[in-house]
Amino acid sequence: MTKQNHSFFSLLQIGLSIHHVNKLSERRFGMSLVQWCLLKQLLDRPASSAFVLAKATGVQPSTLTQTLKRLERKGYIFITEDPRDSRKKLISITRSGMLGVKRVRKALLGAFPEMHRHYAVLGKVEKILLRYTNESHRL
Amino acid sequence: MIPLFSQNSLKLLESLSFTDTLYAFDYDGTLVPIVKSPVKANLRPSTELLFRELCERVEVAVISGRGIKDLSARLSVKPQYLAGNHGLEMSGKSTKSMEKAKRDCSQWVRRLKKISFPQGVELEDKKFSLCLHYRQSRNKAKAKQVIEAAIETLSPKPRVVGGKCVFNLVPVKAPHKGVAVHELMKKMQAKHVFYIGDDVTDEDVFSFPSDRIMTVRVGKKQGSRAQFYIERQSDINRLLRHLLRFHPRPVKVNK
Repeated sequence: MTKQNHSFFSLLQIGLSIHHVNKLSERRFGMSLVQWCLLKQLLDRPASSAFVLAKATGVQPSTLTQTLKRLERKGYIFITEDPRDSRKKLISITRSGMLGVKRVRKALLGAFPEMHRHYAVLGKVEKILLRYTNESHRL
Repeated sequence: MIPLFSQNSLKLLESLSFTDTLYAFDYDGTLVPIVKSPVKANLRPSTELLFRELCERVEVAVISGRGIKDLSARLSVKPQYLAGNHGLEMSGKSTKSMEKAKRDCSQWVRRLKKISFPQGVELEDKKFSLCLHYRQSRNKAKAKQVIEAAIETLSPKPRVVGGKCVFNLVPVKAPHKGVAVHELMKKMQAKHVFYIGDDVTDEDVFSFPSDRIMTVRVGKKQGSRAQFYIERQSDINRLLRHLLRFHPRPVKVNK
């Protein structure tokens, strides 16, 4: 197999594995990776709109809506009206959500103790994939 | 505007405690009640106790129309940051705009001292801005009229910010409270700011274009840009108690 072909197969495996890790994380720790990332953003940005959250995390709006519903059911977030515009909603993390973020981070670090060593490589792969998704209209 | 002490608003206030938040307070009418004579505006003992406790636990700023020297003398509790003269004066900072403000104010004082104001009108020279108080006037409507006419004669033209029985004169294009809050946020690398004020000058913060400032007004007012409100100044202790509850004292570990 050529290096390029191998790379594409690796990408597929990574995608499938991330999906698997996401599910496993939710089963084991009560929170998927996607949920954890959203909550982490909310920790630093109380009272965010869905638009701001989607932009900050790169999560698609349709995925975001479903994920937010699940987080609200779990009591990790609460949604309020924007005091300045009752048509808009603001999303904030609860104390339970804050404690969950810390707990799951600890668990993830325990499960993937070496992940931080590959931070630079992961960053490069992320850039390549983002470029692909941003320029996909040219293909 | 939504009441700050509603269930959801308090949950929102609590969520600020999960991240690096700067808690900023206006002074007159917010931390201290409005009094007839500005000289007598001091923290109630109960508020002082709670405020001291808060300053020990989190980053706190007081942003006032008073000068920093005056503010500092009134606060036995020293918060981490002070900004005076409606945001123009920041601790340890001397700028071109402050020098210009000083010159403009001197010219205004010279002009205003030549005018005969009704009894009860008090000119307060804060070096970088001026206040014309008329709370002690018997005929407030008349006093207001005379003050407005006097302001028209000033050169350079000041930016006039009304308040509770007071006209605040600040140089045009001088930094305001909104700018001060933003500067402090950058300085301490805060992710969010909580700001509470009671007056027209605080609207510069309430309307500052940032989604990282939670704004609260003392007293509900139609047309205010603040997101939340508390009913009256005497509710300040209730607010401070909530903030202390959200920021418990760290447990000391005996080694």
